[in-house]
Amino acid sequence: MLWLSLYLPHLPLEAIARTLADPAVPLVVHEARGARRVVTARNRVAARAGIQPGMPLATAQAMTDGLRLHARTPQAEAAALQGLAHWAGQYTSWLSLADEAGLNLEIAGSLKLFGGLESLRRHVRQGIDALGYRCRLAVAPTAQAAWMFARNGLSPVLTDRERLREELDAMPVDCLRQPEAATTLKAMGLHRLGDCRRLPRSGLAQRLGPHFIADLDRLYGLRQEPPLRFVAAERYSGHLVLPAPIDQVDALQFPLRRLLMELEGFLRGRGQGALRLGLSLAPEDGAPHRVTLGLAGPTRSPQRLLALFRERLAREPLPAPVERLDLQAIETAAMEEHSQPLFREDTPRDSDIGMLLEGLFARLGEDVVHGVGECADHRPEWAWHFTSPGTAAVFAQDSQRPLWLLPTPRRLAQRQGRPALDGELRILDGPERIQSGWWDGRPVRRDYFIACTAAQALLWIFRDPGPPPAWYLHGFFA
Amino acid sequence: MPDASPAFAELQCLSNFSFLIGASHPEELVHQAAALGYHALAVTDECSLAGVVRAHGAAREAGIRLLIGTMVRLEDGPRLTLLAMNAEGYARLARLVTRGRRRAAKGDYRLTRVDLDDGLPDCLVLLPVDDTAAAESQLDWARQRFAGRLYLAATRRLRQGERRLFRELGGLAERWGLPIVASSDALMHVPERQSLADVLTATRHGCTLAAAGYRLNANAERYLHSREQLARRYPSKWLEETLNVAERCRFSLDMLRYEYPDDDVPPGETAAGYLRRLTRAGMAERWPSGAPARVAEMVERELRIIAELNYEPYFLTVYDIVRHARSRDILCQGRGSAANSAVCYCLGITSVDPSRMDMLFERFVSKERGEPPDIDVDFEHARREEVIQYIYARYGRDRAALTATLITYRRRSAVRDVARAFGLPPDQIEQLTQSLAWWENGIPEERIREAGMDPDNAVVRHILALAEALQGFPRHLSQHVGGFVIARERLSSLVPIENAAMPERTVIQWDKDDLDALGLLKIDCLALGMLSAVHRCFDLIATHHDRVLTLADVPAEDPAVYAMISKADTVGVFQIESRAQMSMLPRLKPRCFYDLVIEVAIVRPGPIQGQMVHPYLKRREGLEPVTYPSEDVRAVLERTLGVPIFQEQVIKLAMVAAGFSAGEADQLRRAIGSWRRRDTLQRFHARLVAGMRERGYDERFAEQIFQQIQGFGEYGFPESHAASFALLAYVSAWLKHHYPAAFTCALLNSQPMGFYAPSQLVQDARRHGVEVRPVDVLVSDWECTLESTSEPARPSLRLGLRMVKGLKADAGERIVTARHGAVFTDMADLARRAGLGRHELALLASAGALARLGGHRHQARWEALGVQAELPLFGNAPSPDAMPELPAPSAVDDLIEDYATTGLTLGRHPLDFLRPRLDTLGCCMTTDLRRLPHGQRVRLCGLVITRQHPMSAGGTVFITVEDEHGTANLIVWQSLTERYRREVLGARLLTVDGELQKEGDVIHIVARRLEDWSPLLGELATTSRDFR
Repeated sequence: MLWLSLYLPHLPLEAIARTLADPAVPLVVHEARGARRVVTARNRVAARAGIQPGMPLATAQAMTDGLRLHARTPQAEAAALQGLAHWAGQYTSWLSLADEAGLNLEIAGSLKLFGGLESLRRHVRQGIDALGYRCRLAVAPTAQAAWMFARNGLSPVLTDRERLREELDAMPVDCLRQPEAATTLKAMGLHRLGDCRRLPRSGLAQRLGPHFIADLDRLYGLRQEPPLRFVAAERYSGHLVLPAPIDQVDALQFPLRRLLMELEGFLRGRGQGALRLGLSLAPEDGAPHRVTLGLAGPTRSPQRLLALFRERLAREPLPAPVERLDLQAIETAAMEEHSQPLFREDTPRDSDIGMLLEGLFARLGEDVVHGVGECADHRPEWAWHFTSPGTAAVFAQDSQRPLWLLPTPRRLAQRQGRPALDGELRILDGPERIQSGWWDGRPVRRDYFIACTAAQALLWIFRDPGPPPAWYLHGFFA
Repeated sequence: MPDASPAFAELQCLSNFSFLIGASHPEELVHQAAALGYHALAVTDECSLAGVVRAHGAAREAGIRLLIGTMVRLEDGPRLTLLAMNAEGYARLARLVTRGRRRAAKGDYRLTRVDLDDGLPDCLVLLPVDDTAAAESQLDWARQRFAGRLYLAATRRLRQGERRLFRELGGLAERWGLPIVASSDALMHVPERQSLADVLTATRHGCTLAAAGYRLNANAERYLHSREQLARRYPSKWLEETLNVAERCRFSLDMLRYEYPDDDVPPGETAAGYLRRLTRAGMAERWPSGAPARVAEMVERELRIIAELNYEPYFLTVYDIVRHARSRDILCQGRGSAANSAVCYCLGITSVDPSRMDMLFERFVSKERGEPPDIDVDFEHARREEVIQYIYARYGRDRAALTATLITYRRRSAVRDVARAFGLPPDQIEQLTQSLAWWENGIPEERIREAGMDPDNAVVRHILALAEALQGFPRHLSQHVGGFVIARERLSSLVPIENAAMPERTVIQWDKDDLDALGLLKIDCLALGMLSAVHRCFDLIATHHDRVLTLADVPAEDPAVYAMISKADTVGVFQIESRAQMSMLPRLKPRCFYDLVIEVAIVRPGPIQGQMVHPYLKRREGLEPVTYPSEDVRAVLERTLGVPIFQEQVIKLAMVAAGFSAGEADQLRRAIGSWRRRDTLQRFHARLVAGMRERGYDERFAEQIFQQIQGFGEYGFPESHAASFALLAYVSAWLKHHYPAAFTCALLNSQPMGFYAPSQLVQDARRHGVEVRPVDVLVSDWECTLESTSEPARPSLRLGLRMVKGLKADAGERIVTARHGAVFTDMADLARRAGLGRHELALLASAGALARLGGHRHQARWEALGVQAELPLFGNAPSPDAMPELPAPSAVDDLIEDYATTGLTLGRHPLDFLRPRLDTLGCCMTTDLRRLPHGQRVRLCGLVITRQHPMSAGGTVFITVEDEHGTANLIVWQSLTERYRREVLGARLLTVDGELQKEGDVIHIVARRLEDWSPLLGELATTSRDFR
């Protein structure tokens, strides 16, 4: 057996940013650590500004203008890894997800098909690049060793056990990521895996526990324990969440292409091509825009499919900025393999261009129904807000408030310093002084009165002390 | 201006002692009320009398009548404001507050109608009415309980429907036959405090301003209105009625009568007679062959003064506490104005022999000044709790309670709470407050930017301004470290008592300034680490040198000890070990006990600010003539060569040279003692300067004296305290000189204490020829011990198991106990008999404590880890596996582990390893500094041992660094501290480029540039202690 491990050190960033065409914007992905937020990963522009992983987010913000922030999304990372596994199905039928951000591929059987180890590695690397990831590749006779090297940032190509043993012996004990064991070992003057192997096994097991010895044995291949196989989905289904909504069809090409490349890998592994594809373009909220693409014959070329989608999408404007793309292979068929499946593909086939099925366009949106609730704020303008229907309104204040509030208070005429509207107003109650809201830049200082017009209409009016003082109408009582 | 506005007394007013509610200091409220021409003001904090003493002082100043009261919310009834009519009424209020507070957790209270069943005689009761129907439902009960003393309180809050409310209120009052008083129900003195009040509300509810909603006040009406405004808002009848209420409340805090406890006086004897008897007996004990005539005279004179002032019970109370401590073999030492008297020496309260220095009792306690005597007693820190529990048991919780310490908002906490109210995210708040360094006043704009905020932003400006206003606001009452108030009768009739956070502790609602202002007796029972160390050292000397010592009979005036002190060879010595002290010692060269008294006081920040250190030194060195502007001044200043050094001298000067009366001098003393009232000092300025000029002193001298008084502001050090500290300084220096091993051993066992970490103490001991032996599981006790050597007079110091970081005391004790039976044969034997787990063995192995059982650390650990599996087995099964060949740790490995596990190394100093590297980088060593000339540019690299930033020194920071040969002192001027903030605050290994400053034996490096070379240390864990 020969294993190729690939490790994606920047997955938290790439899961979000690989769909970004414009890398000139400094971007960081952050996560909570205790009470504070720290930088998990950052793109190159941000790195050039001096932002480091582990740095408090506030510090990073203070270092760069226009920094784009994204909270780390483990779901997006898991989905990205899943998609990558689907894509990698083209290289082997035996692959597994590594315990974090990586894949292990058994490649002994695929070497011939891909023209040897070197050629295979190159192909994998280019594919990963095109999908928008950066990775470490390591090759070793055991999956655990290959993964350990890759995970530690090394990319050796080891095909025989002797070389493997030598390389492993020289590795520091920290490489196993068992910090407690490593500390213990170092505290006994044992710094490399080779130092451990020279010690009596039973003594070592007794001190460090059976897990440590087992891990060591798996690395060296003394214990055969291939990793669990990844079970691929029956049908391809992949999605991408865009870090910022896109409203231009052109700008959608870049992320869509990445999905189509994943699809290509998936289909190639099965010797299949797509017959019908579904693409769903979802806005931030609201119903997705769905497009179905029918093909005359099985196809998997990303360029080709992209051109078709582009044409299809150009027919009508996007109803709303898109935040998420979902691509599904609805129907597939076996594709005859040509002798060199590798660098072929893009020769145009027959006339399936233009043969498009009308996608279903369903607008699920309904008019949003708002309820009215009270928001605890002394300032009348801010005391109302829309709530979702059915939410109980809390009226904490026992004062009487008008049912109709003017969106903006209306200035009242004055007669001898007294407010007037259709004649002089009769004051029934007041003043009710409201002086609040100094903290958010919208301070209010008003004396409210309930007043009555000649026609017996009840008004809510206030006096602004100015200067100059002025009277305003703010609402009507029912 | 003739004033047509109606007379008025505000009867409901919350100060900021209603924590997180009131938005003004009591003093501000009182002064504002006086400025508005109010007839009287009532301070009525919620179930609290904590702010009344301050209000009382302010009222006296402002010349306005103060009513004392409290507002309570009954759990099953209305909110009521209660006012004391007379002393009896006050006592009832105090007891009511005590009852409410004692049954709730700290900071809370619980009162119900039942608590008012006695009708609260001698108090007036105000029922605030905001809703007539609700009020009416209470009136049956209230009128019955408080007949003839019940008032309705009306407040114009400018809310909707208030016209109707006021109409109805008139009817209600008529129906029930009750008078109405007008009240602003104030919680701030001016409306501008509304924003702060809103912040307090949000903080109280733990929410943001935006989320606080209707919990905020709708407007800013709860302030002290002008009488014109009041006249417009209320019927004149309601305003007049407030004057009737004020008239009926005749209580003033001046009426409080406090009496000292007299429990100790045997029946049939007077306090005076008893004190005299005890003093005589003590004198006979101190001087078995008869006291010198001078002392006998002194005793007589003191007893006379004590009798005149009726202070006998106070001395007897202190005596009782000290006697108890002594009976339990707890070392103690008194200090304070009355402590260093001949009487206290005879009573055993102090060990400072009055014949050893010329200290006049009258200097400390005088009839004319009428201040209460002040005796603080320091006890061994490890055993002070026993003393506290004794006091509670002796006098009961009814009569003895701890003084409160008022916890106030400091810069950091103020910024934190205000920023939180604005909804800033926690990490940003953290960053903003973390970046406030000690030396900064205000928040520099860079800090704000660093925290990711824009200093010009409106929100940021709000936050800073409000944080500024919030600073100094009381937050909560905490317990004073050891100040007890003991009364003859029930203490709770005098001042409310509430629960402290610590179980079984109760505190009164007043702090030491309050007690001082009212002349209440306080005895401070403080904890002092040095006393524990001295006690331990005495025990060691008794065991190993067969010499029994007490504080009083350590040989006095030993020239060898003074020689050592004069060389600043004082690591570990009480008080004079700090670096500021050390740099002073070679200049001052103390030669006698009184020199030490001066030394202790002179290096306090106060005198530095007052520009006095240098004049004194110059005069002492004969560089400046000793002159006195008058004979009167000579009498005050002669003992300090014409330079005022002690607080007592300054007070006396004010009287002698500026004509202050005793009362005024006492006010001046209070103004000096309390930093909060620093501004008040300024008011004495004119009075002092004018008084001195009148008496023929020139203005320069007058200004100089005032400056010196200001300098004392924060740290004024009284001679009476300095004398007691000097005694401990002398005793510890004597021990260090004659018994360095025992002294170091005692210090190590008393950690944490003092200025230096164990590493420096051990380094210093070794430099003095003490052999220090490593922690060894085969011989070490839990504590550090002395081991005999071939030279019986020079035992060596064996580090104890307590030095092993992380090892629990009970594990240590198990090892020692198990070892008593038989020597441990091997690791398995140790583990089994001492019941040690893998973790504990690993700690011991890391600390090198298993070296003799298990070889070098690597091997010891291998063995230690192997033992675990055998634990369940019976008998001593031999280890199944042979010891494999493990590489020995390098010297650096050992060094790193030494520091990591015991905080010190007995091997090579870390800088020794780095020396070749440092040589190439052009660094000199601490030993080079002695021979290099003044003014020389040097570069030096060392481990940071201490950082200090005395308040008096502006932003200047003092840093001490250590290399393999010794230590060096760096001065970082303020101009540099900001630029090298990170280095100053964070560097463990610091390299300084600077200029050598030499003055006699005193050597400093004035920093020009600092670099943090900590990475060179790798994982070396050094410790630095930061001192404020």
